[in-house]
Amino acid sequence: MNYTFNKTTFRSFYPDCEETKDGTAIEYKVEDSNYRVYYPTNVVKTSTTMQMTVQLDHIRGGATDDHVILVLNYDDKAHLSSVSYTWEAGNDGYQIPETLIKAVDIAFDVAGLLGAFETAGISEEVAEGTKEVFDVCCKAYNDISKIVVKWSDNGGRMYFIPVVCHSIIRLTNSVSV
Amino acid sequence: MNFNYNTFSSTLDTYDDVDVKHSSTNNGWFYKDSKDDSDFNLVVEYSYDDDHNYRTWRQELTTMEGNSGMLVSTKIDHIRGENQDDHLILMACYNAVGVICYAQAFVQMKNEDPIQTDVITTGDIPDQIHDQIQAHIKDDYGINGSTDGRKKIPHIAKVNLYSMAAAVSV
Repeated sequence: MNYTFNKTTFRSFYPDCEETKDGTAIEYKVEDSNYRVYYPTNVVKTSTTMQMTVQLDHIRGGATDDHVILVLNYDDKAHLSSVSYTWEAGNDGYQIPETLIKAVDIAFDVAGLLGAFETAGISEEVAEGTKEVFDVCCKAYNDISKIVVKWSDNGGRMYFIPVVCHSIIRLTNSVSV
Repeated sequence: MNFNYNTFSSTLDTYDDVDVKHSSTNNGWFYKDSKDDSDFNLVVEYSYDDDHNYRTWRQELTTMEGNSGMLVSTKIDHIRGENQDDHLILMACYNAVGVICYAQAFVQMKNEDPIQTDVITTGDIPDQIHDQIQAHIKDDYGINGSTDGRKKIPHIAKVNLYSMAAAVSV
């Protein structure tokens, strides 16, 4: 399998973003906060899988940034099979140790998502990939927000969770095989 | 899949007691910081019952492969003047025909326990978001607690979800 990550496609998903850190990351502003998303590193390819690591920062001027590290795993169809994450809040010493989410383990009732695929003429293969990335994002958002919501009443730190979820989908949309 | 921001704000303005400010200019969307003309600096501000004020930040969108779904997120501020704003974060997903298929919300209020809804994927999703937040809203938040404005947060979440749904098209 020949996996490709398309940087230009990825960058186009972030409106008004700027390349930063010597071209290794992009930064964009949402609401009153700035976020940095690094391009994937430590890319490991086998004949049927690809793994990549992505760091994201919630930029906190004059204070230590919040850091998230994602390790994303893709199967032979370039569908997202699992994500592991660590979450570290700047300054406060709060962190979430490495946690793994596997698409196959998730059991949300997603009939509302699935039911529309056929009506809209979405191919089975695309549908399968969408279900997997959707499941992983919902699970990540639910699990992470339960913890982070207790850390502070700072809107920018909280909105970092949706930023991470959007980024998981955007990364996945930029991978092809 | 598309999200029409003007449809969002004009729909919001149609709900009883919700009044979008400066709605005649750019459908109520304006740059929060007048020196920053980036998209995500756009906001809509509105009052409820003329007395309570809220701000919705421009929704962030990610479309899934082949227009098979769209994730939409936003932050909503309950504006409390001299006191720190309350924050409501909404995540929602629309399916390939543009119908809501998922939402989850959480609310942060200074010095109060955060409120988090379940992952909701079935039934009347905006209604359940409303009811689950409502179940945690207190009767009285004390001096400077903006009790009446906080009591409207469940309703604000619901009308935002309805207006987002109106804005989505395929």
